[in-house]
Amino acid sequence: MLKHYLISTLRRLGRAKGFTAINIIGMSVGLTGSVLALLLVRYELSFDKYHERLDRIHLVVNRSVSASGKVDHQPWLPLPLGPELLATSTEIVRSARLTLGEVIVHGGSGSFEEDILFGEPYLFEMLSFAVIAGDPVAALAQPDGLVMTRQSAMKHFGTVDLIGQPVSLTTEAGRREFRVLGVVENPPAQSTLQFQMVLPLQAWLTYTTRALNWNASNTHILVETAGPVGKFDLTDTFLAILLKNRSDRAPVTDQGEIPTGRRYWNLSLLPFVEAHLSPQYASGLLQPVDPQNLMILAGFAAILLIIAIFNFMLLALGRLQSRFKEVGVRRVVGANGADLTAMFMGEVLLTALFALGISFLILELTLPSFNKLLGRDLALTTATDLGFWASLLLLVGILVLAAGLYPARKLASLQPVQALHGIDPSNPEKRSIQLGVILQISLTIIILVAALVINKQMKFIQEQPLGFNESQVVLYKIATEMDELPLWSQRLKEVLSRDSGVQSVAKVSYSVNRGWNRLGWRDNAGKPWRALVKDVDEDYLKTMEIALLSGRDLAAQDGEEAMLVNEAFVEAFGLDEPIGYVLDGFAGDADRDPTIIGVFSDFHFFSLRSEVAPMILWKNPAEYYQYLLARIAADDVSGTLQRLGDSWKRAAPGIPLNYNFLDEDIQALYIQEQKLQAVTRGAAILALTLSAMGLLGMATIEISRRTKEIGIRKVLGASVPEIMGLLSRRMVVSSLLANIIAWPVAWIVMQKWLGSFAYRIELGPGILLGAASLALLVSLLTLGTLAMRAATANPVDSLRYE
Amino acid sequence: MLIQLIDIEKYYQTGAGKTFVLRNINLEIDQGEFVSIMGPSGAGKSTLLHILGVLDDPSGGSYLLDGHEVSSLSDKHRGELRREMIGFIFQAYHLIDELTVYENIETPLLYRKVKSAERRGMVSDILDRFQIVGKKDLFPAQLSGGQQQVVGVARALISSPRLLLADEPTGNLSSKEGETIMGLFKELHEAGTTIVQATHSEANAAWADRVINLQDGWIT
Ligand SMILES: Nc1ncnc2c1ncn2[C@@H]1O[C@H](COP(=O)(O)OP(=O)(O)OP(=O)(O)O)[C@@H](O)[C@H]1O
Ligand SMILES: [Mg+2]
Repeated sequence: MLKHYLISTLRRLGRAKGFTAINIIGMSVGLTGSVLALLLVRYELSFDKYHERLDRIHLVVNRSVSASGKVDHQPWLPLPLGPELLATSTEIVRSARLTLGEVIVHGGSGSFEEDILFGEPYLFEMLSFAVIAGDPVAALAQPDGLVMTRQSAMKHFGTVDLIGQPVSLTTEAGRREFRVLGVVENPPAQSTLQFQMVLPLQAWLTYTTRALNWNASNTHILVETAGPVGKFDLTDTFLAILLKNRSDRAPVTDQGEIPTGRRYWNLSLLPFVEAHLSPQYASGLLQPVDPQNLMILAGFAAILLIIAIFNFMLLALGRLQSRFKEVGVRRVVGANGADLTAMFMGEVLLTALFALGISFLILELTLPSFNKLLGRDLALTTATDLGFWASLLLLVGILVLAAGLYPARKLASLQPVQALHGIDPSNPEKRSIQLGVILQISLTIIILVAALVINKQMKFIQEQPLGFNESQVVLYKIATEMDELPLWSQRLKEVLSRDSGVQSVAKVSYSVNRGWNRLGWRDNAGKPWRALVKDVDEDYLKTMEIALLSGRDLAAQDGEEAMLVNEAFVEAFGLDEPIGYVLDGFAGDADRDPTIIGVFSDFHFFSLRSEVAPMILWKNPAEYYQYLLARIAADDVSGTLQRLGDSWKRAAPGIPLNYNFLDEDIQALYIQEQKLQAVTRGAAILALTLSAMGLLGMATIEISRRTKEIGIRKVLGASVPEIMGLLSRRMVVSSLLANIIAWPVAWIVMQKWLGSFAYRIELGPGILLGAASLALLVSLLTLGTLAMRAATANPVDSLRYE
Repeated sequence: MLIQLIDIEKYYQTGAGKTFVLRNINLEIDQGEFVSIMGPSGAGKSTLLHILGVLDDPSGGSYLLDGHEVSSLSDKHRGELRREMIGFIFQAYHLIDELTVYENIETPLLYRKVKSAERRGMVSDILDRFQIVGKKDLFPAQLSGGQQQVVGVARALISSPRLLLADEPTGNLSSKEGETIMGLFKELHEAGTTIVQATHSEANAAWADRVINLQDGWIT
């Protein structure tokens, strides 16, 4: 029986090649998208799962609420909070502070810069990183201990057999010797924490100065709880700690109320397993994904699949009549309804399996570039887990049932005699077909709106004036010991400035988006202040082309008492006359009275998702500038860079030449968005193509059904445009009606997506109308070519066709 | 008694009222009888045969087939009746276009779940009997009308039905081909098969034991 069905199905599919192709291509595109989404979502959901004590590991996080009620999510915390938590709470049994840093490794084959982690011993006890040699816990307990991964060990020494090996490293604190006391496997790709080397926290310069400072937030804190959280409540612990050490940030006042008129902190535990899906806590170390973007991707995949389902179902319904005779005959020879349903569903299953095979082929071919785009290593072959295949099975099952069940029931419920005579009983399909077409077009419009909105928003963000001119600015890193920075930053600044291709050079503590200190203090009158503070020299505004709005710029003779603030600072603290304002008590030092000498215009240095914060620029009294920003002339950029490189090497042979363009740094801030944009564009094109293919099929059916009518009308004198109009009318109406469904859905979803950007486009009628016209245009073009052919055909031919 | 029709009527809902196709049909056919139904075009012959073949439901009245009330049977039971008991031959042949001659004839056996080896034997036998072995791999579109009808007959007879219903089986055939089919019916009849055929032709009708005249849905 199976063979019989298989043979007749294959013959039938082979006979209607066009329709079969539409169905198989549609389903395979839908399935490919779904499998990709499935792989990706499963991948992102299984981060950090390998840690044995995962259910007890948490990140301490801070939801800081401003006086106006705005919530700021911070993974950064004061350094002393770590030990204080251990000391105060019996429920917290381990804690590890950790932060990102950079070192220069002086290895056998030269000096390399390396991103590293500063961390505490418990890190390797709480998390399950496989140990190859030595004891990473003990390593971080030593002031000169060092943990390397297999990869960095192999890179610098060509072996993992390194225990006891001295390694010379330059940190901010200077160059000194460390000993390799632990070698671990590379962190898995699905690990939130990525590192090459881990140094003890004490080796971090900031730690040596801020270990006891509650006013600066510059570390991540991981804790292990005695049991899974939920059994106990740490609210009181956090409150007690804040009341003791930062009462000005306590979430309750002395009267036990939620404070008004000042910022307060809500400390809480974020399960480590959720860190990867908590974009609000993004930092250099934590690079979470936005679940909303994952949902958008999954949504695209679902829409593609649904369009494919609609295509299949509509074409099947449209061609139902061609099956009537066969169904009638099978009835006569003894088939019952269940037999017929099974037969038709078997056909759908066969089509779906063909499509699945093709989509596996497509996946094999496209996964590498998709992985490259997303920075992931998704693979079909490693997806050996049962869950994946079960979900895939479920997916195919849903596809087959959704696409086939309705037409199958229609066929199976036909009366044998009606079937034999080819009678369409009540003809309700006409209405359901039209409804289906409308739904399908509306899905296409939804995807189009999404693609247009995402595209426009990304363009907006990238074209948004950042408040400075990021092009033609080169960022040089001065990788040397802290003590030598004042000397080398000045000397190299002079070297670079001397070149004719260089317009100006500024010394800065860090690149644009890093090296900002978050400071909070109270002035002598008790008023709370907070700002992002960065160390720059007097050429910073000029080099970055940031506008000075009032007052004067920093000058060579200015010291640490002169400060520039931004507009947001002036606004946030309500300074009527900012110039000359004395910031007494700055950074908690009652003896200092720095003065505001100028106001510069706001500029963005994080992604435009967030608003501009109050900022202060001042000169670093110790001249610890790690970077040089050089603005170079637009002509002969490569020549200038070449010359600058040569001069650098001559002037400072011991400092590796290390530079990159500022605009590249800026682009990197939007990498997630750019990925999303690329994926959206692809999905939109596929959706449009699929639904055009479906409409093409529908139009073919419609026109062949009306061939005779068209012939008669032409004989009666109808013109070609009249007939085209006749044939297109239903399609136009469907396309227009589709908007009624599509617009509200698309509007709500995309409005929500836009909500996560502080700076965003207006979702106006333009985009909705644009998507609608695009969909209408494509359906008209599709239909038009066919209708044109039908309308211009010789009427006698079409009548004879009968 | 194999067939008993009591006050069978059939009408279609048209516009304002009902259009009657069959009225007040009372008819009994015994096991082993050969009956012809005659009447002008539109008299309702096909409709009556469809009802007898459990392909259509009467609008009223009662149909007992082998003692069972057909209208109370489920879809599954009807399928069973059709495949186990009834063979149907159409004037328009009604072969499945995507299937070869062999496969068309084999189809009823598939629904009866006959084992593959046995099936092969049965189809070969009947191909032999109708001398169409050479055509077994052709598709219906590659056959003449007469040849297609032979296949239709072979398909109806493959399961050796107790009741053979034929709706103008010779309508599209030459008189010689018609003759052959009637001869075949005679043989089947002698072997005990109950046959009901609808026909326009007096000559064909005469092969039967009994002729029933149908006029505007009435038996006259
Ligand atoms: N679905 C239907 N709706 C309305 N009327 C129908 C329908 N099917 C059949 N009829 C009518 O029923 C009547 C009987 O048709 P039937 O096919 O049984 O006649 P017949 O005796 O077999 O004629 P012929 O000798 O031409 O085959 C005809 O008048 C026909 O128009
Ligand atoms: Mg008839």
